[in-house]
Amino acid sequence: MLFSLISLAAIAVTAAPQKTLAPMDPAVWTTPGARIPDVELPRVDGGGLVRLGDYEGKKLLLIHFASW
Amino acid sequence: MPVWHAKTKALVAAGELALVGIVHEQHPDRAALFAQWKEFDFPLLWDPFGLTGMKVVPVVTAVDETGVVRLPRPDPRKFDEQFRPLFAEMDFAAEKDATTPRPEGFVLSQHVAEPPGTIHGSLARVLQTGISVGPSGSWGEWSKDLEALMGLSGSPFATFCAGVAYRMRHDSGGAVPGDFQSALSSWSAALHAQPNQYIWRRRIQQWGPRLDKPYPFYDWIDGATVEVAKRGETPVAVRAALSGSEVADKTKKIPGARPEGAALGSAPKEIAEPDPTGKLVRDDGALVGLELAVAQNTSSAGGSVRSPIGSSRVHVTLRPKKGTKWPLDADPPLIWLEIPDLWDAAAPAFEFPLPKAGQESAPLTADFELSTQPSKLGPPDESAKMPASELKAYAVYSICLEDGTCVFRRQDFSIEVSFPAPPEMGPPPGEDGEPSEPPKDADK
Repeated sequence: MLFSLISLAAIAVTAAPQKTLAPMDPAVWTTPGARIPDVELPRVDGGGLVRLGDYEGKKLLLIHFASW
Repeated sequence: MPVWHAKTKALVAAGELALVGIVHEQHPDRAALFAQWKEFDFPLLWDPFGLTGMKVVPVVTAVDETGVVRLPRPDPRKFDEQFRPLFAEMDFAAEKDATTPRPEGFVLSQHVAEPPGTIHGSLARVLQTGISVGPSGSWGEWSKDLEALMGLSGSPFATFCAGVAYRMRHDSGGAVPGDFQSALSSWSAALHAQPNQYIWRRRIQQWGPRLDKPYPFYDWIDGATVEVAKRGETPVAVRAALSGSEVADKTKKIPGARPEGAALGSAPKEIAEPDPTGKLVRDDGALVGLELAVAQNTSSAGGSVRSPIGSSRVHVTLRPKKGTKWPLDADPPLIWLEIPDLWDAAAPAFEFPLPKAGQESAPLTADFELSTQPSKLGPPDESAKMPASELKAYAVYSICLEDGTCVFRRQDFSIEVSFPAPPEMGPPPGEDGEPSEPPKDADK
């Protein structure tokens, strides 16, 4: 009986869709000495993906902004 | 951003520096037009969900060759005395920080092949597809991923992401009635939980009441489009139609505002009530679907208290049903508001824009503001009557049927405005999971 309940619980856990999500810590972008996360996102002009990790070996000025 | 672009041109040309922008707004095409207008020659990346975690923009960071932050928030006005000597001309090769492990990030191409049902897989596919989906476009096989993101909950961030997904579907050819309101409600719930998240606040204010805006959001688009065209280039097309609220300026009077001294609810002379006796044939939605979204001021989440508590921006979309079309030679559709006591609006009548040739089956949208009248100065009057929370309104429009017959119809609807709690003086320290700023004289 106990085994069955544990099995059912395990099925319930694995079947449930993943519902949690966390953003990156904003401090990683502004703390001196911290390494920035590797981020790859699409270009706003549809020109494909750009990965920050590909800029290793070059000094980078990273600007978070909005056109408004 | 343009300042940094100008200041760093020589370093970039010499191969000593690279620039990358990360854009924190809903519509990538608008940022692409901005980049074209300003002639940016570096990539702008799209982060509408806020995966990178920023709470405010702009934030500039100077990062060395190994990915280590060396100069946070550099000041462009001190380019020669700060940025050059402390970053651009520094040799960081011997610094030990280079061995620090990178925190977890988000590499889209590593997630895009993940199976359905994984959040990161859905995010990756939606980001990759969303770059190109417009008002007539379809999410196709990625609809399930978008719907998965709409179902996110359990944290303010997840709730915000759900709102972004709802608005994405609203801006596509697969829009479902209620998507925009669901986006606004999700963003509002997220902001109430984290009032210091200014990017989330701006997302609501983009479509919110005029006086709740720190600045006009997209009033630059028309001028940029003209300037780019004058240069002989084809301007990036702005896909989702700009609403009035997105170009509204709090320092300017509302167009069509009620003349000073005019009685509340009095119509401007040029627009008389279209159906005062209520005899027009009703459309129950069979010919034209009517969708409402109400963006309330964000002051109830703390912060700005410039806007009256009850002020809201109402967005109305009229969506012709299959087979019906707007006539091009008729008066534009009109909304008539029955403004009750204690409420105010610029006018009781608001016109939709005229349909454009070739887009006779496209939805038409109009937005306008409603606010409760300001309360009298002095101690609160607890016996004062509360304004009604439901406002009656109707739309009138000409619409043509499949056989070419055009009819004039009225559709009744009501606008519900809930009253948020009065603004407080900001959240208690640490309520949203972060320490409050110390008082300025804390170290004295």
